[in-house]
Amino acid sequence: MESVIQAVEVTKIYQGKIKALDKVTIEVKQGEIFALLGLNGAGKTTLMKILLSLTRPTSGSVYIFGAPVSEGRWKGKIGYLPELFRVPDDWRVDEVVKFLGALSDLKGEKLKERVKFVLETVDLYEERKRKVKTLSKGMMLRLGLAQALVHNPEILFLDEPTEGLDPMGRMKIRKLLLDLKSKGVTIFLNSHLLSEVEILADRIGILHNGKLIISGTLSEVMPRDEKYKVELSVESGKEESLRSSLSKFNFSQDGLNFVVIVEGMNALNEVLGIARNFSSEVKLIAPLRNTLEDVFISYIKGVQ
Amino acid sequence: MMWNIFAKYFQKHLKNQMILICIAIEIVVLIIFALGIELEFIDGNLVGMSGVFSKKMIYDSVFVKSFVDFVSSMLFYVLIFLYIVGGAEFPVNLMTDSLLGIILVRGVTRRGIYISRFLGLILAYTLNAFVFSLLFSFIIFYKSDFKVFNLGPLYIFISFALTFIVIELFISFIGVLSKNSLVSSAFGILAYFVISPFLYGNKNVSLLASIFYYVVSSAYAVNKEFTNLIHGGDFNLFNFIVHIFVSIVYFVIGIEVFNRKEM
Repeated sequence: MESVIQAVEVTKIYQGKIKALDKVTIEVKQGEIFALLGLNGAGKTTLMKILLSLTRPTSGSVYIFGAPVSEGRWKGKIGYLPELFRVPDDWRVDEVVKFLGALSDLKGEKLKERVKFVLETVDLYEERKRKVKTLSKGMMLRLGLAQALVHNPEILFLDEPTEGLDPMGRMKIRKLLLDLKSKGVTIFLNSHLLSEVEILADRIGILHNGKLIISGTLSEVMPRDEKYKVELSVESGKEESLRSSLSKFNFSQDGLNFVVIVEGMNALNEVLGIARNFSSEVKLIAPLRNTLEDVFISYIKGVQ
Repeated sequence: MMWNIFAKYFQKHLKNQMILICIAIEIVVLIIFALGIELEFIDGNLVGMSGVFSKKMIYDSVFVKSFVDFVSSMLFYVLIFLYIVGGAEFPVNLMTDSLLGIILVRGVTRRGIYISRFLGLILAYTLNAFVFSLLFSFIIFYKSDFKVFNLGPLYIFISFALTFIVIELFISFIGVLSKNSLVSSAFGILAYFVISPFLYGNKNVSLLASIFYYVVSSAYAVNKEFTNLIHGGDFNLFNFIVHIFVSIVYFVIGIEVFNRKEM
């Protein structure tokens, strides 16, 4: 796949002393969802602004669609939802989208159609005549997404797109983003919500104190450690023998019920063999894997 | 694209609190002028005026002229004061606008945003002044039984508009540097109402005073020169052009500072 966003050794130093980014290199391919994770102040928003050419890097290069960002070839092909999306309070919902659509060279009927389409997509069409000041936080966020999508961008930059939303709102946004991905839109998002990212992202990057500490696909970043949880129950009188057979494994016992944690396929087969020998009932076999949150915390702690 | 920004912010400024206050003052003035004052014309010249509740007519054209000049300049100062306060928000609002990034990624340049929003502001305020002076002229026209179309209010409008544009060029520059609308409006008011009249009177006294005069007093000087022009006094074209030029330099520097600002 063609790479559409590239940052090469990007460094940003504010006021000559505050290093917000330190030689960050990332690459995002066409049609993928890339999520940038990091603690507050890690440099996520700064990197996004540099990619959008809103802030200049102190050193390093940025390429969008294969061309240096300064050439501006990306103009009109990018949608952006900033972390704090605000518009004048007295503007109406459709007025916001129409105004920003017009700035993306949409005119006349085409503009009207796109405004209607995106407002329907984000479930705001019925609210189109409402003043912005009367919108809830979730509605405001959806309005932000509508303006980012109105000109049918090829790349979408979203800074905390589900922050502060209720579960239903998050689900709607998630569905929308997956739908956009299926249409070939490349999505670059900054997020704190790791559970969301785990579902959405093809690749992630973890930024800490301005440094990219790891980047890759979820399976690369979250290696399977092949641990399994096996739950067994045994007939009365056999529990002592079973316990001694399982002694080399990590297990816990609650009366006739056993929970065994094994590492690797061979150990799993061995435990299942023991269970057969004792005519045990196997109640559960489940792979154990770390959540993205566990991985994120372990990387951050590893660096600290 | 610039047109859309211009149109949007023109509409936004029309609803600005300061413009609404100006409109309220103007409506009161127009009502008093239309219903409370009678005018007397002889051969197309305004020679007398009286209040409708006063029996005494003033038949003295010199008095009438100086009275009208006094009232119009008072009004001029009040309105310019309100305009300065209203217009001082422009650069600060521009720099803190969360829509800025969203507009920039659509390919509109920072210079384009600055210029179109500035023009939206200028048009909103000058349109307000234009409508006011046109209504003034129309009331005079009506009161003269449609015989006299007095251009005085329109001359005052041009003078007003020029003064406002020049002072706005200056305070937008201060606003870009200070990022504070209070500082830029205070600076504008101080420059126009206090420093400029002083420098105007002392511009030939020392080199320093004359440098300051050219750096700070553009709006005041432009207003003075234009007033001289419409009253048939000494119009110094060089002075007029230099001050307009200085204001444009302020504007260009303001744009370049804004252009280099990072988000």
